[in-house]
Amino acid sequence: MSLRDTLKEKLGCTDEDFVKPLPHPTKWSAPFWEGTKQGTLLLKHCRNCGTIDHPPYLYCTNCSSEEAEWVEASGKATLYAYAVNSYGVPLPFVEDLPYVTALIDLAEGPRMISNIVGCAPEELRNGMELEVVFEELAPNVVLPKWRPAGAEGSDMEREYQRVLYERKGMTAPPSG
Amino acid sequence: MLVIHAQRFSQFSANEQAAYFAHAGSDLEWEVPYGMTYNALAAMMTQGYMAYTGTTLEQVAGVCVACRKWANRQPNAMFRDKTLTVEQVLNSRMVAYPLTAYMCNVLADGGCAYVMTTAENAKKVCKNPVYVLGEASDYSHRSIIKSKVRDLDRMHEFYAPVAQKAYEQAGLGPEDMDIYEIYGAYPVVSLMMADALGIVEPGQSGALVESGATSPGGKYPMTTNGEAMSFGHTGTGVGFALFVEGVRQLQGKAGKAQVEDARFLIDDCGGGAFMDVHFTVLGNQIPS
Repeated sequence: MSLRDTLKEKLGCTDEDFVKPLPHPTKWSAPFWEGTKQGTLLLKHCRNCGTIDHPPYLYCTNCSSEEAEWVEASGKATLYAYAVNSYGVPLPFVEDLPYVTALIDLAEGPRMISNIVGCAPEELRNGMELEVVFEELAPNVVLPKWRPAGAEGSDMEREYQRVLYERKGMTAPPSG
Repeated sequence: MLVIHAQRFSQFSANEQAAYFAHAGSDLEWEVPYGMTYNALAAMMTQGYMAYTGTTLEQVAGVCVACRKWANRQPNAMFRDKTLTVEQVLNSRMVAYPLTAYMCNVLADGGCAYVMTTAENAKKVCKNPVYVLGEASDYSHRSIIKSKVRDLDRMHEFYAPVAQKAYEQAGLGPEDMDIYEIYGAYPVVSLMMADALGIVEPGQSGALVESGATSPGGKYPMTTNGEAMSFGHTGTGVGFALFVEGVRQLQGKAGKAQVEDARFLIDDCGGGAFMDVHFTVLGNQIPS
């Protein structure tokens, strides 16, 4: 019996209880989520004081200016701190256990909460270099996640990713 | 003025609690979709604090053990009858590495109350009133990624100036305190707070706890009701209950947990995803 079936029998919950919570973009964060669908990580850059805000907000959280532009991030980051979740999470995440939540420092400055994927928990190190990957959570909802830098490697893998994205009806991230 | 708090968590199922506490402390757009929970947040903070201060997991567990020792002296504590060792904390179920089950606070039903009045009126209604001598607050963040102080090993740089303001208002200093009623909810937050009190070098609070100094009979009695980890997490009532415990200590009503001749103490309260802090200095006399 699958974990889900066991839990459904034990707790009387339904498939609906296992549906992943999706981010609901606001007017000022919508470009970020549009960007992830295209395989780009966009950050909000204040034209007045130069602050890069993440999460993006209606106005600059440093100087309150509304004059901002979206810039594409390098997709590079370092791991600041992490947790390996293994028990007691909400039902939509039970089937993902164990999964890693982390504080990630983007090369551009901001800190982000996300998941580390493609890395055994015992291989995690504070300060290790990471690169962004895009994971489709639901049709048209793509989350940026992170994996050890250089883990991707070959052109073949990029091509495989592109085909995978296409099959899911998503735009492939730019190759290279 | 009568100030009361009451909380009932037992009407919720375990799943409802897990879902509620995932959403209560985490941002719906930027954190919840990644499977964030309060425990995950505390686990990341613990991992970072340990990595950047050199604090050991045994020392983190030591906070839970110290809290339990105090709770064992409290007739109203959830875990009044159960003792706890560092080994038990470390060997309990892994919830979110490095956080084990016994490092997580336990939800509880509970309530508390106190009567507040002016210093002038206090003498008329109470034989041994307790005075609010100093207090200060500050706000850090809605999400830890935007905390005022970014480094987890330097969170004392946010807390210490607030504690200092409360000390100064009271005309007292760290060493004048007989008790440090620290509410962290998770052991790592208690250590970050202790780093800010002016009684230990920042980053050395784990060693302080390990030495027994914060346990009953120690030089720096800390969190004398056992708070969220061993007294019980009554929601917004944890800080409330600790405040009442502080008043009881200064009135000499703390029973087996009584710190002898306690005159002054510092108490803290905070909420959300460790978003703010409020320090209060209490005394059973007004320092001359």
